[in-house]
Amino acid sequence: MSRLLQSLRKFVESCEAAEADYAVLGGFALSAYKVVRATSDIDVGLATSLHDKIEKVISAMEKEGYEFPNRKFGSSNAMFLAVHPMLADLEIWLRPDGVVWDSETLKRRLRVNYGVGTEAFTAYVLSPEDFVVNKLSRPDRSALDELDVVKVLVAQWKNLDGEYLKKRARQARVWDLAEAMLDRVSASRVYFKHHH
Amino acid sequence: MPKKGRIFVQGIIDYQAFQILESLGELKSFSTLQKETKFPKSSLHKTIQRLLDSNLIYQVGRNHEAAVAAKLLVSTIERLNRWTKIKLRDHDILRAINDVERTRNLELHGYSVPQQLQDLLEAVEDVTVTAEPPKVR
Repeated sequence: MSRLLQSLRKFVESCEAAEADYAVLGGFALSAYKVVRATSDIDVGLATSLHDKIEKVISAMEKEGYEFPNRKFGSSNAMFLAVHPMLADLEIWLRPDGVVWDSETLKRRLRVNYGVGTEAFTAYVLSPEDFVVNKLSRPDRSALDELDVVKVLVAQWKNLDGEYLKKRARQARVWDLAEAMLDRVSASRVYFKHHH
Repeated sequence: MPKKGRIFVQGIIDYQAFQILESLGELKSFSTLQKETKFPKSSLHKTIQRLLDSNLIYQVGRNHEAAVAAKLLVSTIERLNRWTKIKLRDHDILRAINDVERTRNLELHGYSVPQQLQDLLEAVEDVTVTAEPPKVR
């Protein structure tokens, strides 16, 4: 199994041991929406502001060999970096851009398979609608973020909950952008189908 | 767009005219419009007259409102404006659609998405540099 997947599995196990809600974000979430692309880092969200819960997850991961260089800032931190000498590093977000950690967000998460055969494991992944809002809300939004959004919109075109996407995008003040993305993807899908 | 139409749009829709059309989504008096746009009275009056002559706004008593065609024009321009905020170009979007189709086709042929991801990640991790690039003089 790849070092990235091993690292993700250790995070998932640590959260489950600490009974902490979480969701996979970023490039690793994409496969849940039937999109596959290479990635070199792991972004995950920890859906709690409770100091004890965060400490429990961190302690469980420390036992697995991770170090937390920015741990001293405590739970006021927006992101913890988890560094491992052999496995891939993780970025653990407490407040991912545009994501509201409420019961609806948690309920809409997808339970997804990672890895294959005896090494396979499952993890909770952010819903495609919340993923789109998260990507579009990033203050440092890159062309790659937009490309990820386009791929999710294309792959999940028939499954997306438009009303929920609109609600979350409005809350995060990115509905204009999301609407423009939907427009352009819709136009390009028609063009693609016509020419292929 | 035909030349005649282009000249018409360029002549009518300058910055001031567009601001006025945007403000006139509902019936408004001259003074309300002046407060909102902060344009000098004389140029506001001239632009309103130009829009009235082109049937892009109409007058009810002492108030004005944008015509349906003008509201459509404003929403189309706003929509185009939003499109330009996106960094991606058309061919990037077509490439993304192609990527998604390929993943879907592979899955239909029995190559599962978790397997595709795992193979891709392992392939990237296994890349090693076997030769240095030639030195550039």
